[in-house]
Amino acid sequence: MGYALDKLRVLLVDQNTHIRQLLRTILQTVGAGTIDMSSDGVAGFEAYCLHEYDVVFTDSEMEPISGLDFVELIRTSPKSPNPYVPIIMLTGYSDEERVRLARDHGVTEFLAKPFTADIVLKRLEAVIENPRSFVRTNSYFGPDRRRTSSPDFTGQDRRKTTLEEVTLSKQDISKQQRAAMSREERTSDALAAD
Amino acid sequence: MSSAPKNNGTYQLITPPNALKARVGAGIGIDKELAKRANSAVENMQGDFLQRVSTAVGQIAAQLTLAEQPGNDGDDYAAEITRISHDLQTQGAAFDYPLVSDICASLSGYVKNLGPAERVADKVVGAHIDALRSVIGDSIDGDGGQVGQDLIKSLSELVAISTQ
Repeated sequence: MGYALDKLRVLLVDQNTHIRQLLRTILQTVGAGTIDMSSDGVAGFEAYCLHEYDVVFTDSEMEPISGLDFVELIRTSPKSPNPYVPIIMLTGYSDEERVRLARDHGVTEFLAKPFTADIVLKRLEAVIENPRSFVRTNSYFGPDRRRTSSPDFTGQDRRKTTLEEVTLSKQDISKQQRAAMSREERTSDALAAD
Repeated sequence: MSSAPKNNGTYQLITPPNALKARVGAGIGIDKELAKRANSAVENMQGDFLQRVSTAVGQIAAQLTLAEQPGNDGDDYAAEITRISHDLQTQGAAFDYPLVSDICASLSGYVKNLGPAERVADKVVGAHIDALRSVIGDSIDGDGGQVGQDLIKSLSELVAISTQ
């Protein structure tokens, strides 16, 4: 028996109508419950703040804000209801520098364009089966950028900071979501009062 | 176990719950039959793709004409040619026309690598337009076999000569 995807809520953000339609068709066909689409990162983040999404697909090249800025909003904005959501970035450029930059902004997985239905579904399975831990340092917050961890490693590139391990529960995430919603309401009220 | 994350200058490793796995139930992987249907659904969308390529080819040709007119800033038109070809490049293989992606990758690569004082060459862009028209005219899907390889080789040689 395969996954029951009918309860899944997915956000697709891409400027290209055909790519959005293609992704939606693939996800709808495998039974994804709710698929919302936005054509840019600003509208995408507004949608993200209104609903509880399970997965986000975003293009890398967008205007008025780039895909990287959109990812950063989800990961670090105080308005973000869930900074831990898996984000799959679609990119037409898979050179090492861009991939590194995207990872540094908090992308979970990459999907190089052009892609096939099989590849899209493999990435979806990857974020379901292999969730990444998150790392917070003074300069970064996002999925652990190391694919494998070697606790016994003692070489010169070993992390020099002190490790603090934090395990979050579902309630912690819900609390975070409620807090973000309430901040959003306060901001809306303040704007209305002005 | 639960504790609120604190940022006290230490490196924190945070393990959120796997809410996604909980959401999709105990099943293993995406149902193979549904995955097959997704592939078929994408195939059904291929019909419209050549029409979109045809429209895009017309737009590239129009931009080339504008770029060649005296007094026009070639950079604006070159940027538009890059945008249109990159757009097609990202869709080609998804709709089983990887040859379209390869031709467009060659075109957008050529335009992007032009020097600051260089203008797009009619001959090079025209050759890419002709290549795309061949794909449309002969409905060449897949990588086009030997014909496709020869086409890409001749385009890359032309780009190399013109950018020397």
